Amino acid sequence: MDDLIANAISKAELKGASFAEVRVFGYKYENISTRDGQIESCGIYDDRGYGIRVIKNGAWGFASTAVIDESNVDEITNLAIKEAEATSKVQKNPIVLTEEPIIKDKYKTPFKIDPFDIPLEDKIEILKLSDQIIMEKGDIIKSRSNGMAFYNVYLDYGNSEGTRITQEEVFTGANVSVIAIAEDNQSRNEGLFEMRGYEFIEKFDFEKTSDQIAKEAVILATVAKAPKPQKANFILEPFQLGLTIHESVGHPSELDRVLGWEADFAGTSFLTLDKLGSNYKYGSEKVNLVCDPTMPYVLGHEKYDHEGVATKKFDVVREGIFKGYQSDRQTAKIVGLDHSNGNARIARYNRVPLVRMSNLYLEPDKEGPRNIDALIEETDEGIYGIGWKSHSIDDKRTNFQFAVQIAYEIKNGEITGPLKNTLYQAATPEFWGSLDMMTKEWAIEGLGPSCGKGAPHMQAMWVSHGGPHSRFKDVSIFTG
Amino acid sequence: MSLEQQKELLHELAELALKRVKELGAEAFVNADVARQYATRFSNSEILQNYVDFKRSFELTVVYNDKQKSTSVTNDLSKESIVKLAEYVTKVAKLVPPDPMYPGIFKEKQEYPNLQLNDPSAQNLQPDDIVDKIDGAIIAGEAVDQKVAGVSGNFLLSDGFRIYSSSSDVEVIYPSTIIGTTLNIHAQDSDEESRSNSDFGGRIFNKLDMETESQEVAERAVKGLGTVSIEPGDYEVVFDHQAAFTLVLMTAMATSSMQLINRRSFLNDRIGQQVFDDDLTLVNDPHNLDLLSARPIDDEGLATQSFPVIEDGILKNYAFSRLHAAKLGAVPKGCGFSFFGRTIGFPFAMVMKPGLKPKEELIAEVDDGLLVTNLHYTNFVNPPVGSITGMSKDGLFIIKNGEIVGSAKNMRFTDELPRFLKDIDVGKEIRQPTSMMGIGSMVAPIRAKSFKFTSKTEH
Repeated sequence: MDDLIANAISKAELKGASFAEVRVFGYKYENISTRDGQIESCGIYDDRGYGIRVIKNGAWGFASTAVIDESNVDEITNLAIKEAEATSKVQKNPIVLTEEPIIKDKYKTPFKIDPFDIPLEDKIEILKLSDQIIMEKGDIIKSRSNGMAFYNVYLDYGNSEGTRITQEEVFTGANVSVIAIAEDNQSRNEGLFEMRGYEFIEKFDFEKTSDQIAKEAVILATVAKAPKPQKANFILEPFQLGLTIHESVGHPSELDRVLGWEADFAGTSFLTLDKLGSNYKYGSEKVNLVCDPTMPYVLGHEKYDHEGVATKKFDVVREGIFKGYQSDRQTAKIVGLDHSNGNARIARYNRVPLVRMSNLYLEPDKEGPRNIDALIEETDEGIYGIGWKSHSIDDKRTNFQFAVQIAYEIKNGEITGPLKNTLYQAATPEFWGSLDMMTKEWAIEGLGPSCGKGAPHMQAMWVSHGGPHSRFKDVSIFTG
Repeated sequence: MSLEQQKELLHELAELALKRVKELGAEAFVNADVARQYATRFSNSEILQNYVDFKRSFELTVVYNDKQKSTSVTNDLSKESIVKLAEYVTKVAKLVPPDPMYPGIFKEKQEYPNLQLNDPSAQNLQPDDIVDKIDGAIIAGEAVDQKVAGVSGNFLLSDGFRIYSSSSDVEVIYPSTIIGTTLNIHAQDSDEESRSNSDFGGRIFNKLDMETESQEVAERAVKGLGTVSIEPGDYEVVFDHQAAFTLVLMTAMATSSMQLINRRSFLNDRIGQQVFDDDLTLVNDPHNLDLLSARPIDDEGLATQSFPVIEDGILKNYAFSRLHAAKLGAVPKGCGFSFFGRTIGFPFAMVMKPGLKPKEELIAEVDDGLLVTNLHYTNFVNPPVGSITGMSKDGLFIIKNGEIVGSAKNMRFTDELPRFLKDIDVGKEIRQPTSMMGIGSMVAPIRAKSFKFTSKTEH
């Protein structure tokens, strides 16, 4: 790819581009899923191509093609230049980027077993066994599904400043879902991803997960009660905590949203520019929210973002105070920052980079209870919520309402019974202000390519979140 | 390569794939498309990014012994790649266990309507044409009032061909032009901001009037300034087009055979029942040329057809894929909708029957209520009972004694579709807010007697 990238950059510069970058990007995805014991989908989605983005006369231009061949470099570069020239006629503020170190590197995310080397029969066998375990729970189970998904994503990046990077990611996901109908119609599912190879399938443990999920679906459909509307101590496990972080911390701290660039689709942010450096109180002193894509094995792991900037660990919130945005080279420059925080990502070769989350989590409390059991013991009265069921948040990311799949009532430090249809609603700063206890143990969980952002072409990105089991005071709980 | 040449290429590659699959002892069908796409993102009255893309997608489904099926997708349209794809998908189809309910490849001969779904002049468009159109909208919006602080939005023009081709000697190739755009205009007054939004589109570039739309959106944004906080509760509301579109989409989801198979739909086992107000009629009308989701053939090779989904409030039909229809003992009606190798039934071309009253009259009949222009992040809370939650967005207006008297800060709603759509009036003006993924709907404003807002925001 070196020749193609160098050739495109050189041609763009000859045509007057002050900056040019080329991304050769491949996205290969194998999916095997079953529904009610039958194969529902089984196959590969393979999408690859390259895109050229240029700045000419102070304006961006971008063009892309699925044909990765030097023979069309001229045509695609010309189109990108033409787009920039057209835009520049009405451009008021020329594009300026932060200065970033020139990097030359190759990187592959670590994995043990290439999932694309594993015979399909082996994968189907695991799903059949999982389905069998669920079916054994009886006629009350009315629908069953499960699946596994494997991804190989590669980026070959070069820009006119001299940066040249190749990066390859391999990640794996697994899911089990059950619907049980008795006194009520209830669903329970578990779906997780990690930046690992086929070894993640063993870690996910289909047999154990299927058994657990099916048992809980039966509990929900038979004996679980709906909670009374109340203000309660509310404990979230790492996955649902992660989703809450995603919506109420991740999205509002994306700098492009703050600048209004996503107003037409994803929305804007309450975290306006005046809050940066003003000691804005995001939550209680226990709240330390950290973006760290450098952590291996978590789904949001990347060594470089898709503008060729090295990713890094940085604070979004430290001791409850807002510290920094997620940014790319253009948005960082606009607000006067020296450097991008390395959050530019694309989901396909034919899309422009946006500011995207990667791995954002809540730090655990070294002084807190050891684990969830100890945290429950510390709780006189409360509710412990598990798993994502439904989510919604307003366009500025303040008012959110989520439902958990299953919850448990806590009295005098013990679980007293299961709850269904449990919803919690809160406003972002108040919610994070109510965090009062966290465990030492913690986990980071991956959300597969499902975070949608960007219009007119929405890009679905893969991210990870998590933290300790966390307790929030006086959360509004109700049913629906 | 011109689009015409790419169309020819699709035909050749489909033939090649089907031939190779046949040699390997199986049957197959192809869903593929090529398109030139011009896209623009703009914000704060400035173009952020213009780009051009040549979309290519070749989806091959192989069926072995009528019961074993596999689907894969590539965007590599070289002959070598397509032969490799055919060999891989056939190998997988032979490996997967048979599904006794799968009805096999569709073999009946059908008449496919010839629909004019493209703008022949679109292929001559240049980046300057797109920029001029958007710049015109920006200038028109900004000129409405000094309080207009910025025009944002996006634009997508997709012009190309789609093909369905199968081992049963069916080949349908049709051109398609789709233009979708969003305008989001921001008004500012001292410390307060207000936004208004419009999603709209069409097929003919020269007929797309972004300037007039921009003026209307800007006027609404300015009217949205001066918000007051009101208490959540039960309100009589008028849903403008954009909000009504979301409600129709959520209702359409509940008629999808996927939800029936999952037993998660509030419309399960309710065919023939009066679920909604008798003012509500929704028809799946894929031959309506005004609909951006119109098409002659579905993703399983069935000719699309018009049928009532809800008629006078009575649930009339679900939307089935062929597999789901076989499982549930129903007849599919050309609603197969594929994504990433999965096929579900979905009524992707819903048209609401308009009422007699203009929107102004619907508003005039409200003594104490709200005009909801747009809904945001709407999701099901509990699908089996049809409960949904979401936020108002881009303008929530207070109605007193039949007149709009001000605007309110946004509120969250949590309510059940079959409850609040049980007592409605449907307005007269039909519009088509665009949406992604090939699902479209033409809707009228709806007045609902009762709609539950459950919490509020400070903006």
